[in-house]
Amino acid sequence: MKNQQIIDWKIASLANDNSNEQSEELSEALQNYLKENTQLQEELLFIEQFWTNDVKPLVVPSDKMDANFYQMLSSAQSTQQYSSQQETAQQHSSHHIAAQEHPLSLLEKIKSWFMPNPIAQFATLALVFVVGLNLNKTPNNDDNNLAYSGLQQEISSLTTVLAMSMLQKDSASERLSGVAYSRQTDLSNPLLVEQLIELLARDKSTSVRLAIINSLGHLKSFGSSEQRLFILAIQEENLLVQIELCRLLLNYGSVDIKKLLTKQVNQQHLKPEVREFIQAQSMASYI
Amino acid sequence: MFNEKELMFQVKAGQLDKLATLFENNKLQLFNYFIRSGNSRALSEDLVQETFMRVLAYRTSFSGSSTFKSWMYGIARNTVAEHYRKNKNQVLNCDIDDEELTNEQTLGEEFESKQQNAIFNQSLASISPEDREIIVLSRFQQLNYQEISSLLDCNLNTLKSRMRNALSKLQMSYQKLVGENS
Repeated sequence: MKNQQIIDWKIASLANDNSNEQSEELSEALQNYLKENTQLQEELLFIEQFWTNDVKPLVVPSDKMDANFYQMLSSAQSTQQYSSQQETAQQHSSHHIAAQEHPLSLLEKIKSWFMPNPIAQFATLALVFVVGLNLNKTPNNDDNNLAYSGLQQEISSLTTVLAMSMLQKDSASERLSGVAYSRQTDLSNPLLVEQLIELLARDKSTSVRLAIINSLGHLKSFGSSEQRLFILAIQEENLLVQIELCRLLLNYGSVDIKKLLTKQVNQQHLKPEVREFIQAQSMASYI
Repeated sequence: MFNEKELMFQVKAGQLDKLATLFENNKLQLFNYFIRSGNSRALSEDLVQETFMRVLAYRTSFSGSSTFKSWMYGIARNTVAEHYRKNKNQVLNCDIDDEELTNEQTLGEEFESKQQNAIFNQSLASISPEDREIIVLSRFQQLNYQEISSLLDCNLNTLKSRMRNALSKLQMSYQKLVGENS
């Protein structure tokens, strides 16, 4: 029996590896062989000590890691849900076209008002209206108004500085916090927008990039950044990020950029999933 | 005990919520794998996040020819390799060898065990990343030879030979450190 085989057997038995079996006969032969070979004995003792030595307890990651994972998962689930809704809408529209548009009867129209969707929409609109009304109850005094808006501006600029600082951190969790802070501002600071787009182009964490895309959706207009976002969307390698970028441009981009992106459907360098997505989006916009 | 392979097939079929179970079951071990490989806490957390992001993104490529663990560690290895390729100037944090050896002599067995543990960790940190990886995967991540060989894309005999060499280097480093500290 060779030393190598004995060492293999020892490691396998310590690691509970079933691929190495040890018969009683082998065990007896091993004992005899070991008596004459002290160096091998030492090697086996070391391996055993190393394998059975109490290891330090596992290091527990922070809660942020869990939070980031679940944020990523929920984002993926909503993307998936949205895609399936698009598919259903597409199927519906083709069905409608095939049926040559049956006009809705008065009864059906009335019934549709009592379906869950319009009720939920109405409830949401009412809620938004009430919240908006309450938020807009400003103090009557003009001085108070001025002081209030001054304070708001100050808070906004402080949040902007905080966001810009957090976006430069090494940890993805901190950069995510930076993106969250940027959302609290109205994204009116061009430097902050520039920094977000810069990070979107090079950040290694997909969660951060997805969060940035989500934030950019709150911009009133992409302005000069639109072309850059378009190039990013075309050249992106990460499928999730690419689809989200396309969604951003198709939902909030200018008419020209939407047309430009729709033309990309025929380009072979785009992934089939992305081409499919753009096609589904543009079809949905016609409905 | 649930079957991870089965769960991954369900994720592949579109049941994304099943990924949460796989994450909960593996996050601690995976995080400690990155820590033991010499990465900082913050980076290890990012790498776990990125690994699961890729598990989700590449779910359709899971064929079930290997175990889920083996497939996941394959993605984890690529993630960390890509990270260091992108950040060439970043050096390993080496939290693995930051346990200082003390010279106290009177704390009995517990102290001895801690001292030995510290020397083992230092020895592990001193060998090459390739050797360390095989030992870590087997000893700490508890992957069997079949899983490791599939992960490293080598046959069983080659793996056994590499494991022997790695342990031999670890022993040499250990003896050297023991000599320095005695």
